[in-house]
Amino acid sequence: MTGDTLLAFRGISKGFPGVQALDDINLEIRRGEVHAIVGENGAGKSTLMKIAAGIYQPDSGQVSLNGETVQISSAQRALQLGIAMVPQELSLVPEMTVAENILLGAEPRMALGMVDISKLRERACEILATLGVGLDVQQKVKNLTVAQQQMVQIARAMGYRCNTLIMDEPTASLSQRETEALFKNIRRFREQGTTVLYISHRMQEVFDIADRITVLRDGQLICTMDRSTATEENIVRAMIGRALRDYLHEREHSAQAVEVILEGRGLTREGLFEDVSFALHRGEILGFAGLVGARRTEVFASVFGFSPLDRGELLFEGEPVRIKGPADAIRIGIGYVPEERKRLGLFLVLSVLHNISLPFLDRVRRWILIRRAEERAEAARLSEQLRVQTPSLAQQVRYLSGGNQQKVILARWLGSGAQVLILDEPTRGIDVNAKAEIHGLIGQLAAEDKSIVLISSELQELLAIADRIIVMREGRVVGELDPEQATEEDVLRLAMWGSRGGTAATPQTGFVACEAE
Amino acid sequence: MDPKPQLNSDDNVSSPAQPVAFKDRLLSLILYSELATVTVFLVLLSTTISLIAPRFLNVYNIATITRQMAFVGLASLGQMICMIGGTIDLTVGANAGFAGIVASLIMTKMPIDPYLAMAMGVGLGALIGFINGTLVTRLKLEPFIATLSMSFIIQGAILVVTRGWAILQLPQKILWLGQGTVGPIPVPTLFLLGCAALLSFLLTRTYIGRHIFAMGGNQEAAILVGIRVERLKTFLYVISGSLSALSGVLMAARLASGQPTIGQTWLLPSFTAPVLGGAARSGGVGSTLGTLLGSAIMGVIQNGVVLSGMSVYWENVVVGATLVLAIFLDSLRARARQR
Repeated sequence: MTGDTLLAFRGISKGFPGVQALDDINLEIRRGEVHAIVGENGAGKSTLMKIAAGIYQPDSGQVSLNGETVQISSAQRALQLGIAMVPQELSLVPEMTVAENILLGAEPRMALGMVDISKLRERACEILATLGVGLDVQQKVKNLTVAQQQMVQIARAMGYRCNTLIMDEPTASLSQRETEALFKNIRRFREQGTTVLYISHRMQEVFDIADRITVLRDGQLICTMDRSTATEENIVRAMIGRALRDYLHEREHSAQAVEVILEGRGLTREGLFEDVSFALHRGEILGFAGLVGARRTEVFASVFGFSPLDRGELLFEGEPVRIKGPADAIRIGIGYVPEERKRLGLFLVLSVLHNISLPFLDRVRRWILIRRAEERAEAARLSEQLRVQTPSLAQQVRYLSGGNQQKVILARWLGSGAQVLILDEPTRGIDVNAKAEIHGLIGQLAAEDKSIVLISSELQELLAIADRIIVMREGRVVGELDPEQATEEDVLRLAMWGSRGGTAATPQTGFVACEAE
Repeated sequence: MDPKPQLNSDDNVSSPAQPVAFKDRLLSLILYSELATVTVFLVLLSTTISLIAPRFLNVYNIATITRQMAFVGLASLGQMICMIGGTIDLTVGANAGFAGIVASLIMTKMPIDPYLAMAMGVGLGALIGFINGTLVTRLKLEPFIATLSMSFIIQGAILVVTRGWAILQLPQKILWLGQGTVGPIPVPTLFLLGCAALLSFLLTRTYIGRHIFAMGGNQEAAILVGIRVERLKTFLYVISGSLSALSGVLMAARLASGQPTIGQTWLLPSFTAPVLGGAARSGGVGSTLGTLLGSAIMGVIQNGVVLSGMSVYWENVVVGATLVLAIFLDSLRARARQR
């Protein structure tokens, strides 16, 4: 596992208008290792990797490959040098098929420049087989789940037959099972001699897969550790310069058995979820756990009125309610923080003020006129309460960091007077600091008698802050756990097998074999 | 007013440094203050033209420019509000023509007060707008196709009703609406300014305006904050339809006849003005003042073509070129917004 130096960064610096993203980075990557790069958002991890992948050029410093200085002037050149990157954001063509996406730009050709379609499918199937993934290569990528799309993205990088593979937060949308499948593959790559650079801010994974770990903070390289000597404590301290104590926010309040504020009975939507029932108490944080495909998001999209509901009842404060659209849900007092905050939650071109005030404009208007001073005052109050960091309320929300954007959305629902908040993956893609802050805010809200539905794929998060955890699997509720007693394995077992006491063995990644027609 | 761009928002970045070079500043101004760009452009343009043709700068000429541009200008306001809301109305020109024809017919062939006839024309435009809105929101047709098809239907209706002939000799008493002035200001210009003021008020001071920007900026997010996008979109089409119809009946008054060709050339300019004025074709951005200035730019260009003695056939070329410029600016800004 220890090899000679394959890739070396010397004195690499890179600046953008207004910020120094990388400052004199010196790093050596050994051949055949899995090297994790960790750090908060903005630490420079992606920037450094993009330099290796030819997407950015350093302002100063050099990169060397196998001891020789190289100019990685473009992504093309990087590929020629054997460096392939799987980016954080998917760059697939939704209208094209899986096979076409995997071999995009490298399609097998026949005479006259025509694409050899059967060879294309064959090759795509081969690549997917090496990953242990079964997908219908004829399917259009837009019809796949996010996790499957990620696999296609990885398959594309694999197809380049590179010897250095860079992966940027590859597990962001993968479930536990899919992550394990991915890790199996990464280990296999390592055995085959491929070097893997793995960017992540998920401790667990890093400890699971990496040989060595490098920590970046504010554009500087803080340290590089061997896996054997690294501990979560010292890594987190290196990442954020503070002790681990602040990392996870523990449940502070306790919800006693109080009235049920929101209840769902027998919620069903054909083909998606069936007979889902839950009871949310006032001041409670009700966690919803499950693997990708459990349909938790779909259930609450229907509760909120965004999607239809075929059967089932909803009761708010004991009274049955009809929610035909989000406007109804909002009027009743439910707020919804969607999973994809940029696509569904934020108005990127609008200001922080506008983003916060939209649902409560009714309160600050007289007839059709908005009382702007009141609006501003209210938005300012909310923004302060949630400690949103922004130079001013007039700042366009797209310039805010992920964590602050999320707080804007929370502020919005608080302002609308929501008693029930549905949070769908609220800390996804958010750095450690902000994550802890949001956990604190969620706890605070619950302490103030707001009721929270917390949908999350991070088991640690659920176990830390939820009062109860409902586990779903493939559209059905399969169990309920008490976070004080349950362990991550318990949750996972329920989520995977649907009953307690299944085998502890990891299931085979037995997806349907590659269906190349 | 807008700050310099920072890295993509997933990075925790603090306030940026100030742009250093003049080139950066200029670029920043062009990209981020649409109003500044369009004002500067207008001023430069006017100065150039008045140097070439000194007749440009007299009151009567300016008044004439504003009268000319008022008609397409009203249609542009309608298009602007649709754009801000994230949709598109291709019936603007046809609507104007149809309303003009119908109003003319009513006031000449029926014993109905001509003012009422004009109001009915505007009402017809509103109705067509409502139909557009229903096609888009209830039947879920794509706005481009839906309004394009409607525009064909309306133009066909114009021909059916008029058989190609104009309706002549509109009653004397309403002609002032298109031809008259109040002091030095032509009446159609007053209509334009009045409607612009109302729209501006709607957009900036009312909650409806806020909802319109939200819907145009991100329709799905708008639904998720409880905005009733179907009703709102239909409302936009009704406004647009009414404005185009108003323009059509005013034009008929100006021409003292209902011409079936009214509005035929208005569609493209109705986009150019808002985009020049800073509206984004993708929605969620736009300004009434900017649209007015954009209309003014086109009016000034057309006037300049005439005054400088250029063959009038060049007018289309020049307007077309301005449209290309407008689209180019829009895409530059769109890219700047991405960063």
